[in-house]
This record gives sequence, structure tokens and C-alpha cells, in this order.
Amino acid sequence: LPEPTIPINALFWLLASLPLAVLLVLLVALRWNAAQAGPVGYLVAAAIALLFFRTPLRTLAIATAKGFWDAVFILYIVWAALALYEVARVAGVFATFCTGVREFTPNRLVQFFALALVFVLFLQATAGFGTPIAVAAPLLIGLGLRPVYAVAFALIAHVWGNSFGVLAIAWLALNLVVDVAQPTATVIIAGVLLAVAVLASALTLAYAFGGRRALRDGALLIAVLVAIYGLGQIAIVPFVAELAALVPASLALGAIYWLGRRPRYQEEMAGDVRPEILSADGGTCDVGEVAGGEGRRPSLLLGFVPYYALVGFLLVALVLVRAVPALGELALGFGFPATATGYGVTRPAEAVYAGLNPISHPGTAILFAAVVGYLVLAARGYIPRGALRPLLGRVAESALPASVAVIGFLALAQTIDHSGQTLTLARGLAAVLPPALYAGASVLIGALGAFITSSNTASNILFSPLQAQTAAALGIQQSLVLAGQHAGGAYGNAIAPANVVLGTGTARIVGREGEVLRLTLPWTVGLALLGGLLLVALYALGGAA
Amino acid sequence: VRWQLPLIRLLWLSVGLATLGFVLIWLGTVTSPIWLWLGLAAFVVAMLLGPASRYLAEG
Repeated sequence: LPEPTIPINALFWLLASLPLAVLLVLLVALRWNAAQAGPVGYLVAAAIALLFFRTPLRTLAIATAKGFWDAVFILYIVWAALALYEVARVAGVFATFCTGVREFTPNRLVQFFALALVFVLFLQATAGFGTPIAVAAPLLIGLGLRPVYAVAFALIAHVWGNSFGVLAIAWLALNLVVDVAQPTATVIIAGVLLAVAVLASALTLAYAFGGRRALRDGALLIAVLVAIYGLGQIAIVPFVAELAALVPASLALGAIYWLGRRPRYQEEMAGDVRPEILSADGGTCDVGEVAGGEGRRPSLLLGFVPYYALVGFLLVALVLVRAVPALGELALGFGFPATATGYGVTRPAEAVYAGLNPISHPGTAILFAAVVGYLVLAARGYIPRGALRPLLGRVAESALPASVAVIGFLALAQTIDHSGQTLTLARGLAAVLPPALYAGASVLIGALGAFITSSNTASNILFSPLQAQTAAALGIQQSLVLAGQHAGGAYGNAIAPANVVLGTGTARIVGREGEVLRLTLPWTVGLALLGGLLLVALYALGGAA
Repeated sequence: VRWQLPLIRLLWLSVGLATLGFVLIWLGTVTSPIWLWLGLAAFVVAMLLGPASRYLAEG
């Protein structure tokens, strides 16, 4: 295929960055909510595509429709997760859970880590697609955290599990679009970048939770967990990339149980929890709005039925789609014709675009958990009769703003992709940066892709070919930039607007996405710079091709 | 503005129009392109309702 002929200059680069800049300004600076800002981002992207990037209306329409279908993929999780949340809330599960975790150990740091890191990463390894944020945010609120922090912590914690979670779907996608020259070196370097991420996540969580004393008190906890996640993944990934997140995430579940039983962690944590992250009630188990409120609460064993159902369904689905190829190949979706722009940006026709497998899609598992949870808890009298209708009303109340936002974000993502704006952004960076800096910038490009699409997998599909081509043109080892892309795609998920909206939806703070981004944005930028510096150092140590 | 709507109804309208837009665009790729233009128009209106909710939503 002929190369696209978009001029790569400052004007086009600025035009291409305008939709994302507008989105950030509206969300972070002007504090618009995501349902207002997301659609504006799409409209700006569409206008720029039509006016400057020679995008025919037909291409714009097809890109828009693909973005809508991508949104369906995410919104299936959002609506199901909100239903699960409402079932748990009405039945008083969060209050039960809060009490149960506190009975396991009086150490609040261990309680916090069990949920904010270990549970989040287990869900990310098994379900992905924003599930841990949607599920863990309300549970963290149940533990007494303020909703904005609950969402931000879940976002920061889930980063490590993106690149090799859900049976390494993002890595498999990268391999589909690029002929990876040095797969072992690539996954090991990516593993190192992800180990840095999980270390940063753990240190940030501990420090944010209880300052320096929490870092000291939690040193053993952090060291063990980071070793399991970081080193465990590096050890496994060259052999079975598909299990490189799932195995460490499962081992960490056992490790936190073992650690929580140690005498050291059966005592109260040293120092206090930072008051600014705690909700007004100071973190008691009477969590007001999020508790059942009827006085009668299920036991921990019973209250956790929806979550057993969730994990059980996920694991059965993971095995089923592997064992029965016909089930694994199920793909609901729509076909779309090829598209092109006046600058020669083309996208091929697809018989089924982004097919949705109803068995392995995490939305089905969450919906299953919500239905099972409702039936069991209602049968045992923990959900009053007539609760279903208001419950569904509250689900819609939270899910609708999230839906408008996600549709806007993903239509924006496809529009800037199909019109060549994404390509312009990445090529502009590649054009002005020397090889060493480009090696570092590969992380930022991967993160940018995830910010745009809210997906490590989509970021890899979007940018890996460009990264590989640029590496070849600049004489950089391909493994460095592909590792940067792959891990950067994980980093960017902490600021991806669709992920933020998943959290604000279930945390019932829709409209406060900007506050969450103000916490996760500096963290993500810092992490991407750190990862980039690591790659610059590796380039200096012999990363020239 | 005289014809303000409850926010929830505006959002339903936005999601509904976006869905209609998607269906029409897809229809336009397999039948007459007129559906594609109508679909894109419906989607754009759906997206305008998001920011418009700042002014059109009650409460």
C-alpha cells in the first residue's frame, strides 16, 4: 500500500492534537463532566478530519460507527458492573465486606492492599477491560475511602495487569500487526517496565494511605507483592506470555492471606490513615449510602456470592473458549467496508469488526454475578421485595452519563485514527526526536494510544506498526520500542477517560472525572517518563540496531 | 430556555440517537448511502446533546 501523504509539520501536529487537548482542558481545567466533554472531543475531531485531513464523510461515518461499536464493548461492562454494585449495595454486602476484612486483620494497610492492589490485579489478570476499576471502587468506598480516591487508587493499581492480563490479549494483538523480531527480549524488557509500574503503584498506594510510616510498616508487604508481580512476570513471560499476569496475580492472593496472618500484620498499622483520603465517617463500617441500611446484613460467605460467581464464571469462560474452539470463535458484530482519505490513510474492510464473544466478554461474567447475587440474596431475604425496579432505575442513572461519555471518547478515537490524526501525532514525535529519545518516547506513544482508546490492546494495534517502522528507520533495536509501546499502553490506562468513567459510575461520583484525573495524570506522566528514561539508558547500553 | 428536560431524559435521548445513528450508518454501508448520511447526522445530534445538557437539563 502507498504511504499516507499527510504533511508532518507543526500545524498538522497541533491540529491533530487539538481534540485530545480540548478533552483534557474541558475535563481537568474547566471541570466539565465526561458526558459533556467526550462528545465535544468527538465533534472537534470530526471537524478537523473533514476540514484539514481530507476525510470523506463516508469515512467519518464508518469511523464513527466503529467507535460506537467499541463503546458497546465497554458499556456492556459498565451497565453490568453498575447492576452488580447496586445488588451488593442494596443487600448490605459492602458493610459486611468491610467488617470481614477488618476481622481478618486489624492492620488497615493490609486491608487496603488486599483490596486496592491484590484484588484489583486479580480482576485485571482475569477480566480486564476496566472491570477491576468498576468492581473495586465501590468496595474501597466500603472500606472508608473517599470516592475520588477509591477510583484513583484502583486506576493506579491496575496498570501492571494490562499488558499480559486476560491471557495476554494485548501482546497477542501486537503480534498480529507486527512481525516481532526478538519476542523474548521484547517481553522481558516490557516485564521490567511493568515491574517498575507495580513498584510505583505499591509505593504510591502505601504513601497515599499513611505517609512514610505506612511505607516503613508495609515494607515487607510491598517487597513480597512487588516481587511476586514484577519478578514473577519476568520469569514466566518468555515461556508462557498468556499466564504471565494470571499466575503472579493468583499467587499474590495466597501471599496477602499469608502476610495478613503474620504477627507483624495482626497489629494495628503504625501511624494514622491520611484523613484527606477517608470519607466523612472516618472509615467506619457504617458506610451510610453504600451500606444496605436495613440493619440486617448477610454473612461474609453469603455476601460474597456475587463475587464467587464472577470469578467462577471468568475462570470457566477462560477454559471453555480455549478448550472448545467453536465457542472461542464466537464473534457478534457488524462488517464494515474499507475506508480511505484524500491523504491516502486507508483502513481495510472487515467481515466482522471487533467481534464480541458473549462467553468470554467480562460483561457477561459481571452480569451473571449480578443476577446470581440478586437471586440468592433476595431468596435469603436480604433484598426486599419490589427492590428490582428502583435498583434498575439507579443503574440507569449512573450508566447513562457514562454511556454518553464512552460513546464520545471511542467515536473520537476511531475518528482520529481513520482520518490520520493519530498517525500525524506519532510521526511528528518520531520526526523531531533523535533515536535515543525516541526509544524513550515509545512509552509515551503507547500511553497516548491507551489514553485515546482506553485499551492496551487497541493502543498496540494502533501504534505498534508505526513504532516498529520508526525503530527500523532510526536504527533502534525493535525490542526496545515495542516493549515501550506494550508497557506504555498499560501505563496510559490509568488516565484513560473511559476507565475513569467506569470508576466514577460505580463510585456514584459521575461528573467528578476531572478530580480523579488530577490525581492519576501526574502519576502516569511521571511513570511514563521513568519508563522512558529506562529505555533511553538501555539504548545507550547497546540498543542501536 | 423554555423547553428544559430532566437530565436523565436528555441522556436517554442522546444514547438513543447515537444508537440510531450507528444502525443507519451500518445500513448505509450495505444499502443506499442516504442512510449513512442520515445516520451520521443523528449521531452528531446525539453528541451535541452531551454539552447541551449544561443548558437544557433541569436541576
